This record gives sequence, structure tokens and C-alpha cells, in this order.
Amino acid sequence: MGDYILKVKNLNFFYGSKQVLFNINMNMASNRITALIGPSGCGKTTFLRCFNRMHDLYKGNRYEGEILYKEKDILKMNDNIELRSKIGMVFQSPTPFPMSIFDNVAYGLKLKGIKNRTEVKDRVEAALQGAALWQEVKDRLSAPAGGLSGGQQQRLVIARALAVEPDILLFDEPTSALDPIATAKIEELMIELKKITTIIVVTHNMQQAARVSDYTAFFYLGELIETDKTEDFFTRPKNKQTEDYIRGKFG
Amino acid sequence: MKYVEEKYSQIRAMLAEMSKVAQSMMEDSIKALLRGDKELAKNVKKRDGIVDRFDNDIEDVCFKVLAMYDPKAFDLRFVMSALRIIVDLERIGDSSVNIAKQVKHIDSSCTQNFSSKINEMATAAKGMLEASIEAFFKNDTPLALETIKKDDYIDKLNKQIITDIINYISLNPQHVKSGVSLVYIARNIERIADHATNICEFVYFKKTGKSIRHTYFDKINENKEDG
Repeated sequence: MGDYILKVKNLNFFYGSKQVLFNINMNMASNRITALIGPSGCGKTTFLRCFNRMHDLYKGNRYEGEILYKEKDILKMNDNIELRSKIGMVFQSPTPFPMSIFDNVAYGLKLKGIKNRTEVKDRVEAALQGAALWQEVKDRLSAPAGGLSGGQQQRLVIARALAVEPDILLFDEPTSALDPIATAKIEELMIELKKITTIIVVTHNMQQAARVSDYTAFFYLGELIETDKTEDFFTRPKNKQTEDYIRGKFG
Repeated sequence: MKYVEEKYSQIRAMLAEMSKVAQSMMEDSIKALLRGDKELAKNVKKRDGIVDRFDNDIEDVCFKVLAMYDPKAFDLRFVMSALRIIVDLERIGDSSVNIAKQVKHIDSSCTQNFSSKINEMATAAKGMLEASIEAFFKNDTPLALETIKKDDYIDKLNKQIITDIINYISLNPQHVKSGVSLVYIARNIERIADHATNICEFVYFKKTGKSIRHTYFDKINENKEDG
């Protein structure tokens, strides 16, 4: 196994007075895909959102413990915009901005203060290439992003995240709103993208976790129950709760 | 019960039936040989079609379960091992037919000379087969490992019988044909024990997720605790 880009130590998380994550300890390997699975309400999405401090958007939320990103504690960082350019997020439903395809991808670059038109153009193209969308949109970059199909919109959102050259991409059920063909394209893209980024994906689809991820973690009632290499996780899990969950015998 | 659970039960039930038929074929082929009972030998041959049908039917259900339900963990290992042991059971049926086919070629005096040794070997192989099937249905890995150990004894008996038969036909050249048939029979009994060993190896895989195929027994014992 390579280096760990993220190290989670004794992480607890509270929505107000309600604790939803309990003493999570877990490392994420660089340039690998880690899938987070578990029943609804188990804390997997809450856990994912800790990595780019999405919870800071709401008052009263509280973290305890450490999340070390390249040995620096994310929970003590002050610049969330910089953090979110290094740790990008792709949501369940595609979220293109109401602007052109080009401007969507260039948005993050402008936010970072990159104004040189040639550089912006080059990086938009590279990001669209990286998201496997360039061939489909290169002749209509000024068209509204809302005119793209669901799968294309999701790849556009990935391109927007890629344009600012993130180290980590967080995917929150990225294909649950897509058809099987668009899903397959996103999954192929994720596997391709791990050459340049680390991916953490929350998914309800166990087959997807098995297909794309290198490591899988199972959460239940806010606790990390088991994490292992995906091929071992799905063939010989060590924990009885994991075994019951992946065999569909839970509850 | 969930629909997929019904499928697992169906596979288990068909495997139990297939095992029963394969075991009865093995038992009756030896009986036919030792008694010179050509009718019973014919009956063994007839049952081969039943085993073949189970082989196809179980494979078909497993194939559908894999395609439609994407089993995981123990369920996946169960389906995988079912797919593997039907091959062994089908070949046990074939070996039993091979034994039964020799009944008409063997001179009874020749059989009598070797009946006790053939019987000893067949009883040991039959014991292994019964134990392997019991271990499969009970997920009993200690029984499976004990049974695997017994294969060496069968191999030893096989070698001994072959040496004795060669010595016998060198002194009784009129019984060459019967002698060759007996060598063939011994070889098939030994193969049945090998198939029982394979079944035991899949019992271990099904329970632990670890493969012990092509592993020396000492090595298996070393790893036994973490299994």
C-alpha cells in the first residue's frame, strides 16, 4: 500500500447536541478509491462531509479529533475555499451552475484568482478531457450547461472540481440519479481519475463499491465497523455485522 | 423467506439428492463387482443420467443466482463451492460407472483373490465420501480436514493392490484381462477418494474463504487456527 493522504484520528461529530460519529479511526490511501457503505443514517455521508468541512455551513455542528490531510489537521484550517479546491465534492444530483459549459468549469479557477485567459482556456479543456466530456462538448462550450444530459452534467461537475487540480475528490452517491450507461461512464471515469487524485465515495450500491473501489468501509450507527481491501471485504469479511449487511440479512 | 434464500435452499436440496445418488452408485458398483452382479452393474450405469441432470440443473440455478442476486461473503462462497462440488459428484458417478462396466470382464476367481483388498479400499473411499458430504452440509471444517488426511491411506492401498495384481498376473497369465480390469477399478476407487478430498477442500473454503487446494497437509494445520 502507498502513502496515506488522509488520517482520521478519534473523530467524533455532533449535530448540535446529537452525536452522530463515534471515535472514527481510519486512513485513506493516496491514489486509491475508498468506498463508504452502510444503511441510511449510519453516518457515512456525515463522515464524507467532514473532509472538506461542509458541516461548517450550519451553526452548532461540532467536530472532535483530528483529520490529517498531508499531516495538517483539516479541522484546524481557516481557509475553507483553499481546502475545498484541494478536496472537491461531487453530489448525488448534478449541480451545474446556470451559466455556460465553459464558465461552469472556469468558475473555480476565477475564484482562485486565475485570470490569464489562455491559462483558463487550457485548464478548462484539460479538465473536460479529464472528465471524459471534451469530445461531447468541445463544439458548444458557450451553450448553457443545463442543456446537457444528467450523465453529462455529472461529468461537467467532475470537470469543474478537476479544474482546480484537487488532491482528493469526495463523491456523495454520484450515480444514484443516473441511468446504467451514464453510471458506467462515471465509474470508468473514477477508476481513470485515481491516477491523479484520491477518491472517497459514499454509495448505497454495494455492487458499485465492489466494482470501483480499492478499499471499502462499513459504517453502522455512527461507528466504523470494518474496513478492508474491497476484494477481501466482499468475499470474507471479518465482522459479523459486515457479513450480515452485505448478505442483505441486516435487522 | 426472501426469494434468494429459497434459491439457496433449492441448491442445498438438489446437492443433497445428487450426493445421495452418487454415493449409492459408488456403493452399488462395488457390490456389483464383489458379487459379480451384472444386473446391479447395469442399474448403476442407468443412474449416471440422474447425476448428469443434477449437474446441469444445479449449475443453472447457481448461474442465475450469480447473475441476478450478486451474492456476497458466505453466500458467494456457498454458490462457488456448490459449482465446484457438482463437478466432483458428477465424476464420482462416472468413476462408479467405470467400475460397473468392468464387472462383465472380470473372472470371478480373480475377483475373489482381491475381494478383501478391493473391499477395504472401497470401504475407506466410501467413508471419505460420506464424511466429505456430511462436512459440506454441516460446515464442519475439522471433519473435512480429518477426511483429507485419509486420502494418503487410500493412495497407499491403491499402490499395494496394483503391485499385488501385477505379481498375480505374471504368475497367472490367463487372467491378464481380469487383472487389468482390477487395476482400472482400483484406480477409479482412488479417484473417488480424490474427489471426496476436493469436496473437503471446498468445505474449508466455504467456511473460511481460504483456499487449501494444492496445499500440503502440514501447511493446512499451520493455518488452521486463523481459519
